[in-house]
Amino acid sequence: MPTYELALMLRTMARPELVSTLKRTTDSIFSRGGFLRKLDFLGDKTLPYRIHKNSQKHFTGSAFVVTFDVPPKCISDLMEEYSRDVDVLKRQIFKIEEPSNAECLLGDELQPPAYRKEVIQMMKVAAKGQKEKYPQNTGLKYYPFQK
Amino acid sequence: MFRNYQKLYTINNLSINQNLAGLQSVRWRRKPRWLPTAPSKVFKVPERHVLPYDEKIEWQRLNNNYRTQVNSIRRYLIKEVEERQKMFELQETPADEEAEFQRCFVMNQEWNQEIAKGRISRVEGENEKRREEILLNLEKRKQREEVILHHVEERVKLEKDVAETFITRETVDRAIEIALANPVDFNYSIDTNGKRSDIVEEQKSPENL
Repeated sequence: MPTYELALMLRTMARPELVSTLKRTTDSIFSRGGFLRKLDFLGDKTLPYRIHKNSQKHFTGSAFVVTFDVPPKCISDLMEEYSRDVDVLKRQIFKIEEPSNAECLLGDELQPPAYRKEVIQMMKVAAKGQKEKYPQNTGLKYYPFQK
Repeated sequence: MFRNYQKLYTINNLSINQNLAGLQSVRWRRKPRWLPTAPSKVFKVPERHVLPYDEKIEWQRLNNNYRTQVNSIRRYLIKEVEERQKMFELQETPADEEAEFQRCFVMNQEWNQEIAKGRISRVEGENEKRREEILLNLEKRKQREEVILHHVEERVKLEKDVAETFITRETVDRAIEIALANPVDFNYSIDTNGKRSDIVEEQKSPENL
């Protein structure tokens, strides 16, 4: 099962209600054969914009980040289920991918153009198409080769 | 009359400006075929072109020579074709035809045998090459699967170690309590070594030691 991250914004509630909502939210993951890896509470936040849901205006919310594993085909179901939840203001699920082991090439990129590998390659390609130039000082009044 | 048709055969500049500056002539204009002879040319009879006598005789001689030569060549060619046709018809007895067929058949058999020899050796080589390739691919696949299995086993081992910390239906209550009690904030900056820049490690001053 791949690991996903659920960014969850719940409406501001009293503690018991918040706990029950969280239980409900996590239970839908468990019922699909998943489990949680981590549950983080990011605190009560002021929303960046007013959210209108169920005939109510919301200006604040409680932010959570839930890291969980679940079969991939259940993601759309989860999203749909959370969309129907009256206490969930916003939700989004991201797939956690392993960080790539890319090498840092900033040092190479900051070099002057003539030393950069790409530029050297480009110069080689450009030199291929050009004709060989012969010196002009042949003593003749004209260029003896084909221009 | 011609003036009337001139209007047709010139492009007038949108007919707005009627002066000659807007007049553009069409090249190669000619009297249309359906117009009658111009009044000035009605009674004009064109002079008949008469060849001089000597020239006429010479022209006739050359023409006669040419026609004679062409006719002779033509007759010769016709005769030759007819002769060839006759020869061909003479050759075509059933026995001859059978012999010719046998000759071609034997020759074709020989060619086929030669080509078959080459084909057999080529196909053998190809099969051998293919066999080697398949074996190599099988070996490669085996190695690849081993590597994948190794990775999978490593991953499983890792997950087994971490499995104790997973939050399940039984432990979720406690996890929620802990999470609500300890709000986290990821809104901080890190330095180039990946350390948090807002947490400064306390340096022990000599007085405290």
